[in-house]
Amino acid sequence: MRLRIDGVVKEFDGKKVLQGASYTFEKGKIYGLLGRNGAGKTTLFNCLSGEMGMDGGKVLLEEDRQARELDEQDVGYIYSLPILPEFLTGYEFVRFFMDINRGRLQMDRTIDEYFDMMSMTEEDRHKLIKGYSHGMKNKLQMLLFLITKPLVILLDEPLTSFDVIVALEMKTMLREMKRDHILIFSTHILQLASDLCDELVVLSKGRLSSVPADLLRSPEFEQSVIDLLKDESHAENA
Amino acid sequence: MQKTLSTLIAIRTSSMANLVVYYLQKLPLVGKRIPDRLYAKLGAKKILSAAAFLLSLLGNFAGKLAFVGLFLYLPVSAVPDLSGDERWTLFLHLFFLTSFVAAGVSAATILEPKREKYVAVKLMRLSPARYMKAALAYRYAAYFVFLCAGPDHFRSGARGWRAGCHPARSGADPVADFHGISSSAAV
Repeated sequence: MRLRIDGVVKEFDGKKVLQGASYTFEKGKIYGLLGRNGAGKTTLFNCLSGEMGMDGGKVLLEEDRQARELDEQDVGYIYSLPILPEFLTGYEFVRFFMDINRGRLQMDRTIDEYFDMMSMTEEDRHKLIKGYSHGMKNKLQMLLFLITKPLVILLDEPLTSFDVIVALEMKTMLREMKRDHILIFSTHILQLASDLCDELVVLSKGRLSSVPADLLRSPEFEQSVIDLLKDESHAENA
Repeated sequence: MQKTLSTLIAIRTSSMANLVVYYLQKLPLVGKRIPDRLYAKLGAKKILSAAAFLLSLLGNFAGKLAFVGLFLYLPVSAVPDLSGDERWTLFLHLFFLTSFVAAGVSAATILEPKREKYVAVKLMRLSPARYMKAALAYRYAAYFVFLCAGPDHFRSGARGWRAGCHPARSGADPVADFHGISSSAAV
């Protein structure tokens, strides 16, 4: 399975944030999307998830040599600041989610088994979501993806505010999930990207480019990525 | 649509029950005695949810009653020198304009950005069409019942207008008259 982004264009008030971004992502790999603040990482994710329309280009999903347009239901999107129903407990939220999607989705586990998979304690699952930490909210979103099994999972700046334990748990989980999904996560933390990702993609000047695999674990990696990003005038000051 | 509606009501009432527990916990003295584990007592919360649902119905009904009484019945009763039929016609005129014309423009529920819509459609993957149909059907069915039941109490007062009992003309105090009717409505 491959996700083919082909010449995606998105502009705001005449300013082109994405200028024909093209790349092909494959199943079984974790991709790190690197870019400076304001480079358009979230815009690209919003276009892929259907949150935002594109001004040009197309996004195709290729399965068994057959290509079709990417559907909103194919994408699971973890937001950097997730919006969840604050006055439901995690357990209730997942229970309602399962009730609504019963019949449409194949749920091979019980609700408690899903929580166990996410290492969420009995106490945590019956807490109000309002009292959840950022990491817990992200875990809850990930739990929904264990149920819906979207083909493409987008993670916008995850792991950046997690404590070391949760970050490690999330990394392990992402590594386990990559077998069946295309995982793309945006970040501006180079260490995290090089540690977790199989491939790095740089978003610069509205275009996507790959960081060579041999560079990923070389001592010059950091400097090379900085060089790739440096020539871009800072979007916020543009 | 029935399944969607029952799930939607279950989500709303669960949130309401949790909200009650949450704010009870914030009360001085008593609050600390309410443990967090109450959120996990799904059986007890079902009772609390049912109570919250009934309270929300009563609240909605009281709101509509207050609206019809304060904004329609009371002003119409206070207008001097009108016959009973004129008063009744004015009441219906105001009721129609506020409920069907002004509300149609100013209370465009379908366009309101709400967290519930986002949660239902984006997070829980409920079909947007099914969500809107269920939410609007519930909202307007409840409005219809409340607005029919609410003015019904005032209609008995309005019948008095038609029968020739004109509170303003006869020197009766329309405010007292309104209170008299609304208290009978509450019964």
